[in-house]
Amino acid sequence: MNAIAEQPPFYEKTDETDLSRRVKGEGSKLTVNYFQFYVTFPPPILDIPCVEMSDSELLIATEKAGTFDFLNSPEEDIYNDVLKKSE
Amino acid sequence: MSKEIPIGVALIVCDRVITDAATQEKTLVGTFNQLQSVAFPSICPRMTVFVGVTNGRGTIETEIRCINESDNNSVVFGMKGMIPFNNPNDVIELAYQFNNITFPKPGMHSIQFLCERELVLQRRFQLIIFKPPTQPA
Repeated sequence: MNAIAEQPPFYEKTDETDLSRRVKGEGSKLTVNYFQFYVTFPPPILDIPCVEMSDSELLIATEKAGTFDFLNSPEEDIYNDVLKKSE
Repeated sequence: MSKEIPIGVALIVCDRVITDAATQEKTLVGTFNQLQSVAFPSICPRMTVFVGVTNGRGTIETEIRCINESDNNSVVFGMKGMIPFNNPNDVIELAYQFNNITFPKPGMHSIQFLCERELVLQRRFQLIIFKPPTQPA
């Protein structure tokens, strides 16, 4: 007869309190430290030839771009009346 | 006796790292291992390198750097710093967000993380010239 088969089954008796104590674990705590770094590099220096515009050239460029077109809108006419009264 | 260097657990190149405000969990967004550019020098607006190391003791001197392996291992960018380990079981996570990186030349690049001047982690990524597809006549 097989001796192993004759051994009675053995079950470890556990209750809930015992189980809760077990799952807590022991030993050192595993911690995570997080560090974040932000590095912004300066823009690269490229050899791009550039010529600075004069004031008159800038004025012509802005006029052509339509920067002062808002002065021709009808909403601006109210200021004409104010100017007439002051004269 | 030489100092024991930490063990690397992660080195991931991505677009950005988001930290959950409630749980402090990290989400790595947009991982990649290749960059394309139409011309060089090329500027990468943002690149984040996420590094995780453990098994460190005391304060460790670290360095992160990017080298161009196709150009005699020339250093493209990098930075140095010290990281503290309270316990060897501690996991130190580092997120380096680099903005406006200038890559002078294309080729095989490598991002290396060194502790005490010894290589711990390495990740390669390719920088290639983008050629737009030719439209049929």
